[in-house]
Amino acid sequence: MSAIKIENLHKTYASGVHALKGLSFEIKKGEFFALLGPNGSGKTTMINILAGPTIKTSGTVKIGGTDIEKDREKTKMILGVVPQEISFDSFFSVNEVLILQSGYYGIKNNQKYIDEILEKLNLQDKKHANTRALSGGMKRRLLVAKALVHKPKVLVLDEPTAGVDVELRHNLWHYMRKLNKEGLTILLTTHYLEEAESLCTRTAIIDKGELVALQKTKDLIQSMGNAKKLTLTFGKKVSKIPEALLPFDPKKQNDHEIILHFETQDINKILKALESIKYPIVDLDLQGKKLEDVFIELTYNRNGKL
Amino acid sequence: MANYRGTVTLFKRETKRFLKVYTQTIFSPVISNLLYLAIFGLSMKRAIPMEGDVTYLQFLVPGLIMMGIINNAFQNPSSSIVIMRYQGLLESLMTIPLKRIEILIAFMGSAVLRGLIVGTATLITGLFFVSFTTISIPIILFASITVALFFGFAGLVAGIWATEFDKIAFLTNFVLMPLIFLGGVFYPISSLPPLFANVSSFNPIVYMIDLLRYGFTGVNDFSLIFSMGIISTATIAMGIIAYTLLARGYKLQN
Ligand SMILES: Nc1ncnc2c1ncn2[C@@H]1O[C@H](COP(=O)(O)OP(=O)(O)OP(=O)(O)O)[C@@H](O)[C@H]1O
Ligand SMILES: [Mg+2]
Repeated sequence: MSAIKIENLHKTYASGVHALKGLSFEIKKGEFFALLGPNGSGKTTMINILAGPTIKTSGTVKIGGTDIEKDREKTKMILGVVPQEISFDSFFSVNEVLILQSGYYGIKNNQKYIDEILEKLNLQDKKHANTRALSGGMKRRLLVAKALVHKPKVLVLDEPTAGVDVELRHNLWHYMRKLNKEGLTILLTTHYLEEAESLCTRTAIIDKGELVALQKTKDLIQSMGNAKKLTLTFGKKVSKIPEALLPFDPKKQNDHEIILHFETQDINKILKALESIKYPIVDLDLQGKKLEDVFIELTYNRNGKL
Repeated sequence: MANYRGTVTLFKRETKRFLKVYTQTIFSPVISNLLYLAIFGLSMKRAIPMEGDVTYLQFLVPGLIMMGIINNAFQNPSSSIVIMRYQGLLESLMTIPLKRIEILIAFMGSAVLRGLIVGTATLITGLFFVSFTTISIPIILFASITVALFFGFAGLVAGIWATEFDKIAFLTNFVLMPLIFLGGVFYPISSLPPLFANVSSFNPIVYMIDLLRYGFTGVNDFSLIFSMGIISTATIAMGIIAYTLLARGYKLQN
């Protein structure tokens, strides 16, 4: 069963900007799905079409199997949305905002669950604070809380961690992972690609309103080759690159560091070569391809920006 | 499927919003009405000819009540929507699972309530100055509620159209206030020279005030049926405009 199904989705704003050009993809129930793309590629446009603030120009959008044109309110009930733009209701406290939000979704007496969410999002101290008095990162976490009060089946996060500090970001992801394990489908957009890499099973990359990649996150990274980068640090000054290292495309970084490039299948050859070197090695740093490299390859390079 | 609890919740949100700032939304209009009552009531008593045994104060109070209802029913949705726009909350309004008709009902419920609270408070303050009879409670209720609804719709339309506070202030100061003042709050239309009386007959507020005044004093310049017809038609028309803007997402969605 699909949680979200988008077919040939187009959006042209009144200003004439063609923000989505025939986007199609499907997110299955229970997935943790990443939607990546550079600034202005159409991520928020797509999310706002799912959520309500933006009206599609053409194409079909189904949420939980229901077409948004057939029963808008039913599809809205399924979704929890964390918008990219921070908003806050300065007339009310954190707790009041969450009680109201529950009410909009037809839920009465939700205090127990609200308290649980507040604790999970480290906002319990701010329960009775006016929303105006929250810091930027707290306001963003309040948006996450608002999206969760009605226990949505599908959670859509439009850059939920912008401005949230490292520790709380980790807490947030821990919580998202737990909710996902319990069956919540999650669609995430972020510019922190490590987040997508560690959290999401599948990744879509869009650029200028078009889908340029959609694969399992692991496969996507591997599709760019199994290239590895090994940085060697030596205990004393290296005047010349040792001969044994020459087959591995060595680059001298400085007097003490050499970087090697190789494919994963050559790992044994590397180990042998290292043994034969007379210089003392004091540190090794091995790096594989990252989602970031793939992203740059598929978006910036495609547009000749690098 | 109707979302009753959601609709009631939005009504509560709109109502708590104005109750939380009651000094601005309730006290201040009542105080200014009190000032009008004191200044105009005491100074113009003799200058304006009255029909029958109605005193000038008895004539003035229904006008002030109507002015309170009009202003407050208008301001509640208009300022709420403009503030929502500033705070980025319109996206949220477009995301919650409420039908447009439900959003309209919630906003209008709160607008009418605020109009009636200020109207009632003005009436109570008026009782300190002058004693009252009521000729027809159904007419009083009909006039108050329908007019509150009309200006609630108008306020919603204005709030959606006005992307800034300046535009709301412009509408209030240069359109709404003149229409109210020229609508016969302070004088009977029948006391005007024929030319001005004719021009006034195009101002819908004239009929609203006249009808409410009849409910209290039994004195009216226009036929009751005619006034009720005009007010009902205007309210239905404004309601259709408000609903259409909401349903189309005009300046709410993009
Ligand atoms: N309300 C609007 N009116 C007109 N054009 C818009 C509007 N919102 C977005 N756009 C345009 O649509 C395109 C896609 O914008 P969108 O906000 O969807 O990008 P995004 O992928 O979310 O970017 P970011 O990573 O910066 O959040 C951009 O060219 C943008 O200028
Ligand atoms: Mg965006």
